[in-house]
Amino acid sequence: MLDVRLPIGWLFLVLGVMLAVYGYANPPAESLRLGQVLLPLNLDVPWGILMALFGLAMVSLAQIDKIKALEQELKVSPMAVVSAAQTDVSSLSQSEPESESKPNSESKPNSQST
Amino acid sequence: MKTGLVTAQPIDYAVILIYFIFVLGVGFKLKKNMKSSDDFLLAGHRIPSWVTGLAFLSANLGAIEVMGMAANAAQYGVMTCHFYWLGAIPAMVFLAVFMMPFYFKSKIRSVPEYLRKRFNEPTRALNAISFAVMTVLMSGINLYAMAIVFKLLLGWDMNASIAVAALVVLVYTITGGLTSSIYNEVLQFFLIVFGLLPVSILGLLRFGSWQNICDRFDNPGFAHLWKQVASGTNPMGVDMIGLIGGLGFVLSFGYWCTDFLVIQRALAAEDLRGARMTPIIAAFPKILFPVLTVLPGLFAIILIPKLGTNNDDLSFNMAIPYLLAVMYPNGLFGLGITALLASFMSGMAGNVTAFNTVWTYDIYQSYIAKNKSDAHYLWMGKLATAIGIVISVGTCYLCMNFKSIMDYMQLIFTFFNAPLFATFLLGMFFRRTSPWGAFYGLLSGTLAAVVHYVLTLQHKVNYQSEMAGNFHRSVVAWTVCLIVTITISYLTKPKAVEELRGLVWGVDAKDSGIAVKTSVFASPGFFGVILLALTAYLNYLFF
Repeated sequence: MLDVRLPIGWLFLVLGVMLAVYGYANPPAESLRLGQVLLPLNLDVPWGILMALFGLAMVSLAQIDKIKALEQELKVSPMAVVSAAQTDVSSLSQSEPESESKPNSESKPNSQST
Repeated sequence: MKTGLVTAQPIDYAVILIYFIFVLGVGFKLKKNMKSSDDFLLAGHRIPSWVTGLAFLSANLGAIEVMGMAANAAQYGVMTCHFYWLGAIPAMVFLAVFMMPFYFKSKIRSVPEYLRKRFNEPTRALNAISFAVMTVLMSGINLYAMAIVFKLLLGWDMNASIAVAALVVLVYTITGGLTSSIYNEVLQFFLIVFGLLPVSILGLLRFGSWQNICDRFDNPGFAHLWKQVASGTNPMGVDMIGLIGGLGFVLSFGYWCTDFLVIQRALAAEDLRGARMTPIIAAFPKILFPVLTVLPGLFAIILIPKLGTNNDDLSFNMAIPYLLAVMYPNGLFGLGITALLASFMSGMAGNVTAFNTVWTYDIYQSYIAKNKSDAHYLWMGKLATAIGIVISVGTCYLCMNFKSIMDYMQLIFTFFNAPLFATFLLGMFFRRTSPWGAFYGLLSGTLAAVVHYVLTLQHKVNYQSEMAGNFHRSVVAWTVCLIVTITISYLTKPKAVEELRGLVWGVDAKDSGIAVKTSVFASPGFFGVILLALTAYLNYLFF
């Protein structure tokens, strides 16, 4: 089943980056007024970065747990995992020619330019 | 169209749009897991306790919590914290330590089902019907609060925003069921924290210290929890009996320990320990929630002194929306609005997912269509979700007639939750309680609350404030239910001990020997003591 940290993580990552970029591109006309002090703080930027970091942490935690669960499964029943991996590979191999051709075609112009 | 106070920029709309996409995406992603009615209505008992814990907190984090508590703080000051430190934490600890084992071990699917096992069919039917009515009455509050805020703040059409929010909740609950509701509640919890925290941070930076904030209050009682309670001159107009007996005991324990809306989240946990830890995990952030709700309310009354002078655009409920408009730059403003939207939607979805379960299992399957296939009940669960949302839209227009959301909510609780808590207390901890004792006790408790309310309306019973009236009404309903239940229990036949295994304190379940012993320091009881100590310290700090 879906790990809840993935949608949370991605949402915060996307929103955080959006806020930070928007804040950076559109600095507020007035400084932030805090009592007697005027603070030149563009709130969107730090808060956006904080949100993006939180999102990144959530996604990473979900990935780490996914890898751990796979390792655990490998310890318990290695054959099941290997056979699952083989079916994955065989399904991939059908699309192999396409995936191989792409990097080659990309690498050609590069080599020409150098 | 009348324009609002603030003009939202494209970036603000983009934030809201992305939030909607994620919320709906979670529902669609979970759709393939919804194979049986158990998956749809009970989340298949496979959710980790930190997730159920945050959902437990967030299902309750609707309009009442966010806007209502800030409104209360602007109106009554720090005394609003009683709703957290007196009215929530002790009850949450009690639920985790004492009551959850009975709920979880008896393998019930809903709170009314416990009443059937412990007592009889009529008691279950009474509770199921009153609960179904209560949840749809409550769920409309969220839609109403949302529509009014967006109309005043952004000039949005009320009917259109009600329709859009109801549609989004409908889609994500009908595709992913309780799991989708719980997942979105966790997502909404983090959004609410990130969306509202800058208000508190900016406010604290602006005023510098707590003392500076207190110095700005017109009424010095605003800064204290207990100082003016004894003298009866406090801003809330409540006395010790109302506060401790009504809020601290009957209303809070009635809500947190028996309301299926919150219990359902704990029952979705993987195992008994997870279910018991659910309220404990929720209680830690709950202690700190006044920072997000009460504190902004206090800032609002200082910064916007005109607040509360009318019931329209200057009502206390507008405390947080105004602060968002004043303090946030565009971008962050979109996030703040999204946080409010998230709180309204999680509050509504919580009610709807509790309603569909009680309707499907406790009313439809029990009395209308027995012995149908599981696919049929899954279909009914989805239909109940849709109907629940349609009725919520109807009740939304009903609560437009009430002056304050908080008063409306507490009034509904006094009718249903206050007597129910007496029934549960006796049912779980007093073996002699008989099935018919419970039934007539519950019925008379609810009737007592109704009679008391009518007397208050006719000014035959008077209180300083509506809140004080609600607190006292809950004590009356609870006491009547307690006395009637005990009296009739001694006049009628109790259930045999054999039938009460795993349902009553002191009558162990047959499999109780299998229980895994864990360290004292990892037990819910240990965390409960920490929570109570922290709460006591906070009461001392803001005495």
